[in-house]
Amino acid sequence: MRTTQRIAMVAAGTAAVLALASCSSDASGDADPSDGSPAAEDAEGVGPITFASGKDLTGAMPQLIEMWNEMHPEQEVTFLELSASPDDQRTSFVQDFQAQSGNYDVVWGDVVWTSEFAARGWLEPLDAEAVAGDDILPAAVESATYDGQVWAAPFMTNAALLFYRSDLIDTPPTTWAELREDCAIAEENDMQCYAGQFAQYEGLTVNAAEAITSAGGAFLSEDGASVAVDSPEAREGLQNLVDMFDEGQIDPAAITFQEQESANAFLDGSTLFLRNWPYVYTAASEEGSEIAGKFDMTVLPGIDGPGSSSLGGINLGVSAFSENKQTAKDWVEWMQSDEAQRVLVSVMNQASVRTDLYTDPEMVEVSPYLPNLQESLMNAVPRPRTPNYNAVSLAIQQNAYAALQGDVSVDEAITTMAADLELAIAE
Amino acid sequence: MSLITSLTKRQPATTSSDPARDIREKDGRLAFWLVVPSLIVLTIVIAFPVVWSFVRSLYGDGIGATPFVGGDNYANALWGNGSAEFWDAARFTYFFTAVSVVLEVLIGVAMALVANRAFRGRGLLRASVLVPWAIPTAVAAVLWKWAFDPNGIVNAVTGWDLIWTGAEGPSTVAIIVADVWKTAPFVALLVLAGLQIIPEDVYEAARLDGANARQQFLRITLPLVRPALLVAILFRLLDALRMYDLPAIMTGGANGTTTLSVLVVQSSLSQLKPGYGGALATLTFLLIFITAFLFVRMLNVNAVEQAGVRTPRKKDSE
Amino acid sequence: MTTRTPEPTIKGARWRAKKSVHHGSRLSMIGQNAALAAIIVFCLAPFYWMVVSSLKSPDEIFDNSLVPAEPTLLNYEAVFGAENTFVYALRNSFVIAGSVTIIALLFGVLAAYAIARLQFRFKTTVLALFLATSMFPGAAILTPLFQLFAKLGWIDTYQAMIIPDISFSLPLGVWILTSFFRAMPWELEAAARVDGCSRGQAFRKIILPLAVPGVFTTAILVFISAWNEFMIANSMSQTPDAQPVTVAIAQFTGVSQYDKPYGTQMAAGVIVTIPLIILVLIFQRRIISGLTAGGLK
Repeated sequence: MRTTQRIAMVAAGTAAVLALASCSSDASGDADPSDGSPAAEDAEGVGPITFASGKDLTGAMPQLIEMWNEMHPEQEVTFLELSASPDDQRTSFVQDFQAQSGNYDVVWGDVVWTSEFAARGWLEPLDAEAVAGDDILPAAVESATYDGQVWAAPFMTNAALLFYRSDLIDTPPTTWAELREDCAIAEENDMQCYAGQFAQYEGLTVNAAEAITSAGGAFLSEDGASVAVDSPEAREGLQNLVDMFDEGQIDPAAITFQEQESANAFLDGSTLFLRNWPYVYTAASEEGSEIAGKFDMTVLPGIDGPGSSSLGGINLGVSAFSENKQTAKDWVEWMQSDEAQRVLVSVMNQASVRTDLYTDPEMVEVSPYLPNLQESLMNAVPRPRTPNYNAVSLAIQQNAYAALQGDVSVDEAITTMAADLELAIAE
Repeated sequence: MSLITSLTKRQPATTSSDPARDIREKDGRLAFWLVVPSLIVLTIVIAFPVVWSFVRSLYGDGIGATPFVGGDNYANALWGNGSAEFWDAARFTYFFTAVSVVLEVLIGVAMALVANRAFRGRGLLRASVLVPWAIPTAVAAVLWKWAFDPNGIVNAVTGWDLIWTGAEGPSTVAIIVADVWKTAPFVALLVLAGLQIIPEDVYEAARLDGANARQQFLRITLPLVRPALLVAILFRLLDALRMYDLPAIMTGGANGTTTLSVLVVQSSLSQLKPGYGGALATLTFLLIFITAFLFVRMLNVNAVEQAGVRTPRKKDSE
Repeated sequence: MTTRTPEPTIKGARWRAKKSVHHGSRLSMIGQNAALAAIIVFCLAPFYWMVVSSLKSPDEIFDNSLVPAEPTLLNYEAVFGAENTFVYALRNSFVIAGSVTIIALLFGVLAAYAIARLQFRFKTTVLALFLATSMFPGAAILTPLFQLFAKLGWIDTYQAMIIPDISFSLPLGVWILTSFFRAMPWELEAAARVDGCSRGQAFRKIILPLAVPGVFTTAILVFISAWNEFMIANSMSQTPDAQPVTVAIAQFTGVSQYDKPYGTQMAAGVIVTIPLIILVLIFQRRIISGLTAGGLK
């Protein structure tokens, strides 16, 4: 008897759960951007918020949050630290947005996610004057802009540098041709010449983008609406990398390299040139490093002169489902302030989005690569801005990888890439 | 009296008398109450998401609007734009499954036989067999990823100079090695438990009849552990066909090592296309279902029927 | 197909829960020891490499020396970190995997008994249904369940991980247990019924103890698969209050965002594996000695 009752209860519970669930399925997100921007511009929406970010390596985030919380005891920020893997972070955000839960009021994200999230109505539009003013790096602002509207506050930025062995190279190369000539020096010293990131993952998109944009090519049109990769310039750019593999100027093992593997190849003294992010500076210059005092940095090479880096970095977005949007907006704005950005540079050891900090003597003292980085950032090109970024990037990676492996010719790879990109942006 | 009932209860299908039918009804009622809790739990956990995914797969993935598109997502995957990708993934998934499951069974059974007969070192053996299975897959994948690095331990030990994760063949080998190492113990543990309930008398009797070791294995051991072994293979099959973490971590799906599950994640989570992803998930489910069905039919893996030590009976169809 | 069971030899067989009778010559003894060694090497060599890696400092972690030149516990310190949240993660993993195991075994034993021993309609269908739940790609059930649990406010709670975990552990449990129950000597149950035991008593006193190796094996397999689950936990848990070890390990970082903390991850792998092995060995001894004491010979 008792059992029957209990089972009946369970059954009723199941029915309730299923009923609830069926409600949720029509509300699965994907709302129009205009729906996602409710008229919450009034004084409402002030209160405690949750800030979700990737793993913080340095303790800078708790410090920043403490600073804010002391100033705004009524609008406390709670810190939610997610996985160290960007893919895992993105999955967490996507699921939260799709469920429209508003658990994360402010999310941090790779610059390429801004368009993806904004187009799906998951982000709250922000005031350009407040978060994208003249004091912020133009390339970073561009990365936070989609469809003529600013959707996120640039928080930190990043561009690649060419690391080289200053004990072996007097004048660093500014073009690919010069760099490849210098490979003779590598051979004399029984070293590999050049290393970058060529495994099939996001890093390859970044490297291929640099090769192609430095040669004057592009993947998509400026507005992201049409494919532009099927050009002689793009072919020339990719061909350069393929030739370097063919001629042994890039180690065959580099086909498996991500940031860490390529950095290791430079740090153990076996590679002459390395394309990587500024973070390598710390490990290379610390005591006990094989190459301490024997390396320097410059901007990436191009065809006729210095090339352009892909733009990395992090933008802060306000969730369209947040209950305290006003506080969330104030918080992201404050995170761009001089006060907060100084913590970013000195504690977190990341590049600021504020232009004035690159020439600040105090900051240059801490990070001597800042002037080079600024130059790299001035020429930096954002990766394609499109709501289908992930599919676009996959199309780039797969075809560039096939060409680097020598499975297909560069011409064929670019033609297929164009066709795949066409599908990717159409979807 | 009670002896008779208990005997008929053991073999009701062969008895067509009335008491048997009574028993069957009584059995049915009891069975209902024993099985229903599990079914309810699974309905909540699985039926709901599966139905959700299926329904979602009938809708498009446009930004801003998700119209009803019927079978378009399926057509796309099977013979449309996504077909090359889908069939490549299916081909790799099946190849990977076939090779790794066969190796896992061979190694797993060998391990179990040795473990079952070992006098000394039994504890150590048991513990060692458990180790690969107990290491979290994500950690094991990282271990193997670095082991198969061009400068890694595998090349160092073998003296080869292979770029394992830089081409299709070696990548496949690397993933299979990692999977076999990780899951052969699963097969071994199940078979070992099956071996332990074989009475020693059976072997004694066989030896008296002059059976040699090979005959003993083929005529006694194998038939008796068959149910456990088949269940182990079946579950390995299902798991391998849904393989995700090893390729995701070791190669990121590059070099033709994209499995069906990697494709599902790529579509539904990475590319934010839950409709297409739902279709891929449903297709994967169908492929696995058909495979499992054929496996069960061909090898007669009928847990209902495979009594192992029971008197042979006719198939008791519902 | 089913007729090849050597039925005649079974009749009147004496059943033992455990048997370790060695038969064979000295030669096979040597062969056996060689096989033993081969298996141990196969299973433990990669694990050894893991332990070695975990004891190396960042400077030497990528050299391939088989013994760490200067063993260091740096990686282990890094696992527990300043805030020691890994201890919570271990606790969470025990709670989650433990609950999943108990629930799966409880429901699984009942269902498996019914399937193995009782005659009822739709038995094949029921069994197939259990199996079918293991055929759907795990990633595809994430989104719907996340939305459901978000509505219920269950994100970052234990049940949000325990319930989905049951989706793979219960079918596994039911199938394995069914195969074991089928192989049980049900004559003993019959005999117990003759002695006046009820069906429930006969099951508890005779069958269940005999099934212990099977149930125990199932428990290990289910516990470990729940313990190692990552994808679901990574979605459903957000704070150290609920995160299990697999998620905590994914949060480890190197000195920069681009460095994967290989050494720390290996150390964490060792930390989560060794207690599991010890636990299993202790349980195993208990259960086997318990059986012998029960006099089930």
